Amino acid sequence: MNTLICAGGSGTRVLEALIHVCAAGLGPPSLRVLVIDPDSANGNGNRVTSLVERYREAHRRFKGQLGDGLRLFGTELDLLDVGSRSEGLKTWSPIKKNEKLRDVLNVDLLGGTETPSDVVRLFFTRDELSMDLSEGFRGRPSVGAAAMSLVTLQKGEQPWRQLVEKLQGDLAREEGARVFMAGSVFGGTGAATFYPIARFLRSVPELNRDALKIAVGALSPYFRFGAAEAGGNARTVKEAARAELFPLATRGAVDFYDHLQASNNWPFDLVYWIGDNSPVSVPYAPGGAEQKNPSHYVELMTAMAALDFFKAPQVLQGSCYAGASRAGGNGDGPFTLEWEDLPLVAYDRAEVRQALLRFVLAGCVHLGFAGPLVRRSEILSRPECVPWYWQRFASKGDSLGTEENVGLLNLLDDFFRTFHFPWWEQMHQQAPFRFFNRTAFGNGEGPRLDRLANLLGADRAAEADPDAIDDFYTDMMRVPKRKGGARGTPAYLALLAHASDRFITREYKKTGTKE
Amino acid sequence: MRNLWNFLASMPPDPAMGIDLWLNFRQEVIGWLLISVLMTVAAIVGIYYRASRKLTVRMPPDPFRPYTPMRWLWLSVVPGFIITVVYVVRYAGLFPLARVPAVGAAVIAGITTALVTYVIAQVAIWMPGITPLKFLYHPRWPWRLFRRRAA
Repeated sequence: MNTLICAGGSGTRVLEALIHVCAAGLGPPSLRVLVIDPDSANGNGNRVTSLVERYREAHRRFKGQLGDGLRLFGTELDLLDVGSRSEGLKTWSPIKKNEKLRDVLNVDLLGGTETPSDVVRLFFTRDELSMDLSEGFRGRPSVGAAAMSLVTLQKGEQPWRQLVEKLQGDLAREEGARVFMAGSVFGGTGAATFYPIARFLRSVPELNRDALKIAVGALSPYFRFGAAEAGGNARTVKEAARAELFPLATRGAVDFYDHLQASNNWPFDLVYWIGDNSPVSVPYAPGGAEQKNPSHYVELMTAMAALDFFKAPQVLQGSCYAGASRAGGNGDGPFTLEWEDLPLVAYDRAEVRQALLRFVLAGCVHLGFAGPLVRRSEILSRPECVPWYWQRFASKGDSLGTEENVGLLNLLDDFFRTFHFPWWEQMHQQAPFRFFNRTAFGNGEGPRLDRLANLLGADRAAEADPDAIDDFYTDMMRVPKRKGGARGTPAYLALLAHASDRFITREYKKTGTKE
Repeated sequence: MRNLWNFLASMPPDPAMGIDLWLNFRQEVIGWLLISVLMTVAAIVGIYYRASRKLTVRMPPDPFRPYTPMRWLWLSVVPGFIITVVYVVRYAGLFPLARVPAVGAAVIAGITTALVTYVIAQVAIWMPGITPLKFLYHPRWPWRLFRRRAA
């Protein structure tokens, strides 16, 4: 069984990326998820919480209904209980509401112990001790690490008790247990989480076995912001995380991990350092609902690293480097990030591309054509006009117009329109990222059906084909009847996916120049 | 009624008409019939084939549009018209003194020819590969019969 621990805003967005990849059918059969973030109400967290809700609903409704070979929405999410909410994505925080660092460390009570309270002031400034931590550690790993290191005191509470029990269960099985932690090393929460949590897991006697594999997706600076330009009062600006210190914080983290290795305290089996050499500018928000950073391909890379680790934790050994290629034959063009640059070991790159492309293509057709088509009133009175609808649904007494099926169609609409396509679009706003053709997503106006054969790579306006959907429509008829789900919207989704496979085989593989 | 099938009868409708001339006339009409029916069926299927492929589905309402390639089946009236004209002209030429008029039989011959052409053309467009998969059930009237039975 696999466990993903997401720390901070970046870690949460890695979860977002992983959910999208799992929706495309690439994830493991099941995934245990824990989110650690003192700022549980941040905008990114709210977005991912909604995404997880939609995903779980889709998983519940489509599971086992899509026929053989299709794993769309196939990963079952096990959301660890943190004792606060009974449903949905839970976020654990080492900080209680309105708690300050001085409260966490009981600074005011230290005077009565053998530890003088002045010791605390050696490590933390007065401002740090009295800083409101309910919106995160503000890019201060030292503050976060102090709070996170107390996790061992909470091992009898949720989610740690539950996590330890479940990991014990995993270790009793042959496949063992794999834990992947994702977060930034240049901010507060992520940098503060990796080592304390890994040390905690390694310190639990029941878990202290070789079969427990722990990996880290350490994100180095890939965005920047200016707190001063964003305004706010002097205290806000003073307490704010400072992007100019990100490289320094990263250097500090690297030094720390180097020290861990040198001192033989290395708790990790694998560390993926993932970053970008040209950080993207994002609007500053101290935390809360305003903190809504756009998705970034670094998070996708980290999600893929997690999947790679889950699939084959033993495969990667030693130090490896994977960098983006340069465009142009002379190697002097700007950096670009294309499918070939996806650093994968256990996964086959072509299969990953096929699965993600299939899902995007099926989503485009669903939103732009097939979804509106099966909702038209004529389809009830003249189902023969849509041959695949007649063959697979109407002739069997099935209908996509039932309340249940319409609800599922709406769920698909929502998933693609509100979450999946905006997620890809946000990543493609960064120039080097060239997985998909950004134009095809329609810039908020719905997918461009004339770009169905040009979803990959750069846009080729001259090759726009308004009849591409006509070819896809015929592909839906060519899908063998044995393929596809049993009934209703799951069968419809399976049909779209299989037709997408046929379309891709013809339009994307017949020539090498299509991408 | 007997007159309706005159052009296929082995005996002339009027005993005064020479049997050899009648047989020649009959063979000539049947020859015209075969040629015109076959050529028209081929033309209908060919034009239908192209027209049905030109009809594309680009928007959700498109599958419910009128299926215009079926209109080419109206070409079935052409061999009917040809046979009617040939019948009248050749009958008048070969049997100028005949007491039985040609018009009734010619019209019936034309209608029959048109119907035969239509049926053959309709069956031909049902052959696999002629109608595009995306319009598989569009040739309507037999489909509706089938649909009622299925319902």
